[in-house]
Amino acid sequence: MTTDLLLQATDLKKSYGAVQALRGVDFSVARGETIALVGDNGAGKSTLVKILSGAIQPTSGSMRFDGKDIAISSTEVARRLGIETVYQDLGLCDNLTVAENIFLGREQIRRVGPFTFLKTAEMRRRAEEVLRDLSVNVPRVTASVAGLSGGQRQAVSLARARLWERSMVLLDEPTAALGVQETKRAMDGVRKIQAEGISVVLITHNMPMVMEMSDRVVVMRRGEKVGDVPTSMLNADAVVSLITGARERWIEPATTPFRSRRAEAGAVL
Amino acid sequence: MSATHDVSGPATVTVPQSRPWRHILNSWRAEIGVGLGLIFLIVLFSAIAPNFASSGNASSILRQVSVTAIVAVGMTMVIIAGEIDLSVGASVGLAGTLFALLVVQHNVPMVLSFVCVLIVSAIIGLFIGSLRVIWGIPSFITTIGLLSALRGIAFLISNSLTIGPLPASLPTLWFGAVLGVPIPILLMIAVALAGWVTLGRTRFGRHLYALGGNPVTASRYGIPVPRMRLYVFVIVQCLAAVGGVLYVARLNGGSATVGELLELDVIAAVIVGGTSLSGGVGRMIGTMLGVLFVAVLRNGMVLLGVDPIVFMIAQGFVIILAVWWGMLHRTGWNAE
Repeated sequence: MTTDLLLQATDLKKSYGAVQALRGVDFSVARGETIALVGDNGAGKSTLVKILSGAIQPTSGSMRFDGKDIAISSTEVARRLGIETVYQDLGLCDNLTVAENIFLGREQIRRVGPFTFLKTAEMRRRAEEVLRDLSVNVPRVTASVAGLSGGQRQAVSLARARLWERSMVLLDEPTAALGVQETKRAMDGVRKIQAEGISVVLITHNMPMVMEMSDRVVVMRRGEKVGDVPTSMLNADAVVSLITGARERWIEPATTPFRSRRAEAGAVL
Repeated sequence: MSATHDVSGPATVTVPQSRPWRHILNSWRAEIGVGLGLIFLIVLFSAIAPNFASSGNASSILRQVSVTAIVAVGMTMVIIAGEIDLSVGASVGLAGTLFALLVVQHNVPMVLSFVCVLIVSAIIGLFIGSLRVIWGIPSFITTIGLLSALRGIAFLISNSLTIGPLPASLPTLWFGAVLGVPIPILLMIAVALAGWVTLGRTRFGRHLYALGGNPVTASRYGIPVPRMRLYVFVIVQCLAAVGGVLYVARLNGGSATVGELLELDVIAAVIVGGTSLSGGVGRMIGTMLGVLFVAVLRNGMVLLGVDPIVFMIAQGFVIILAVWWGMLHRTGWNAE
């Protein structure tokens, strides 16, 4: 393998007028690696994830993906690179059904002469498959998303990422609004993504989730990266001290090639 | 926000499975409501209104309602996309006037005149859509302005005169029939079927619902939100042009006064048919039932000899009743 790095961003800066949301951040993700991105509100985590998902453009900085220089100039470009995002607001259309949401913007079609028609039955079947794979209990894929619980909505959003993920999944606060059982289910869903060798960037405030799920923790504070440490070298207290600034800085040089803790532990799933 | 996970909320694991028939019934609530209302009206008027239950009257209702129905197909798409077009009545008047002027005064062949009218209508649609997309001007405002402006232009270009008569072949478009079915009814059925397939079976239709339901999410998933907003206004304006030309055929002349208050009939039909003004919800079948409901109500009252003023009052309350019926499902008995 020529390169182990899936994504490498160098010196990313983003300013909104006078406000500097990112002040020159280096950020890399190895193939199959799970990174927990932590920090207080306003630290720049969401800005960074929005840049990776193509929702916003950095003011300056460069990015390489799969060994090639790229600019993620739109969400469309991100999707083409195989980067899927599970937004904090889940990005669902309440008026559409579960299956319609999962296939939104990527509907399967059949051509009849000059016309194209939706393959409704096919999409329903595939939506059912991916939900079953996530062991989610959703009443019907033809039910409107409006009537679902928070956990079920989360699952639909995760299922959409599952169906289209090719290289990387960005999860913005996947468990922020969930109860204990639902959080456990969501984490199981994330494990399935990891098990397929997909890279994951996980924004979360949930410390047990950080320690349990990630290979590396990246800590942001006031638009800068102040921590970048393999999870195996850390404990929750150390992460919190980096978030609050009690500890100024801890950046471990990247170890190459990356080896997943889970792989070493003998595969979780 | 706390650094640890909040465990205070109750853990919901499973949701009791609602029965499928109930779920389907709920999602068709508005259409079933207006359908039952329509059946009730038909039964009622058949019993008490002289000559209501005759094939002649049925054909007459359908023919008269054809323009409203054709425009309502476009309006359903506009409203599902979360927009509104109040200018369609004026557009019908302008399109008819322009068509008659081109044919009668400038001797332009009728087909070419129709193409010209379609192009003008498409430009009007693009104008409304552009103001919405580029400057965020609500379509409600633009089209309320155009409601007056387009009607004014129609009066201006026609010197407030009725332009006619047209070549003898044109009235066939309104009065003729193919295999015994009047042409306006055939046109209405064709447009309604095309609209039904577009909304329910194509990517464009699916994206319209997404756009009306959540434009932010729609654009995140690559749906061309601005372009789709342009398209819906072009569609409804072009359908209004078709309606305008149909009216010219019916009257054998073009007049700037044609189509006055048509926008109200059209929007009433769409809303009565269960399409939500907040966007993202509605079906073509509901719109067609809504169109028929309003038309049968009017026809029956006319046959009963009821004062047209009473019909105006009844139509107004029917709209309110239909919206209440729709809201009841969403908000229950007490919205506040």
